[in-house]
Amino acid sequence: MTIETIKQTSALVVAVSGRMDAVTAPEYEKKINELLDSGEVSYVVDFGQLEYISSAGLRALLSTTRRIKDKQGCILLANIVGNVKEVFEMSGFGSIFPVHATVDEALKMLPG
Amino acid sequence: MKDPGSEIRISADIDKLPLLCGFVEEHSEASGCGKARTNGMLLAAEEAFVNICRYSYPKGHGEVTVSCGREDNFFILEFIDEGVPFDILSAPEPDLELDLDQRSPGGLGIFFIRQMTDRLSYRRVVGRNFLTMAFNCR
Repeated sequence: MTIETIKQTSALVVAVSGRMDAVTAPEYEKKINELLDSGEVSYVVDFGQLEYISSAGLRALLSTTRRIKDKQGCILLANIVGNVKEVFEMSGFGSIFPVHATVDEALKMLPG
Repeated sequence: MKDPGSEIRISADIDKLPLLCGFVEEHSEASGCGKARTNGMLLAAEEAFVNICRYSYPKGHGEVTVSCGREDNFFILEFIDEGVPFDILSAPEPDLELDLDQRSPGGLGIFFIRQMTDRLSYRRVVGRNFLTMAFNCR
């Protein structure tokens, strides 16, 4: 898994690629926790290059989202495709997370 | 018709997940299962393995044997461990209707195993757990 961040006016775009499984999900959690500690509260997570997610990945997403909300922040997900989309739909996560078709669309939802 | 298949024995340690994924991918593709089906198998295999790593050996270290083979139209994956008895089939279903604040972290892994497999069975035989998953790869 690799994580790249790009600062935009209204949010930090976090692009996650590769696999988000039981081995790599803690890296995602660690990264978001570090960003939160540095004061970043608005996130758009770009899953366009994410090839695989398991329950461990979803769990990491859930726990970091709770921390973001505790800090009155927000997180929007974008670009969920392929296998990842299938897992989101199967688990019901697609309906509990705000999911947007593109990063630009998600960014437009946020106050700039 | 069952082919002789193959097996690996790995430490029940989450860091060994890439070894399991490599094993499943190699044998699933070699036995002619498509990419989409293999992805489902990888998900079910990870969830089964992670369960064993987290719960089978509460007192310390253990191992797991994973075997695979083709049986008619099915690709079979079997997980064998010597840990505490755990019948995955009796685990409760997660509530998928709950919203974000009410979600509990557990349960999804077993749900994914059930969703991805065409047949699933559990046996406890002389101190060992046998979890057998069959995937239709016609």
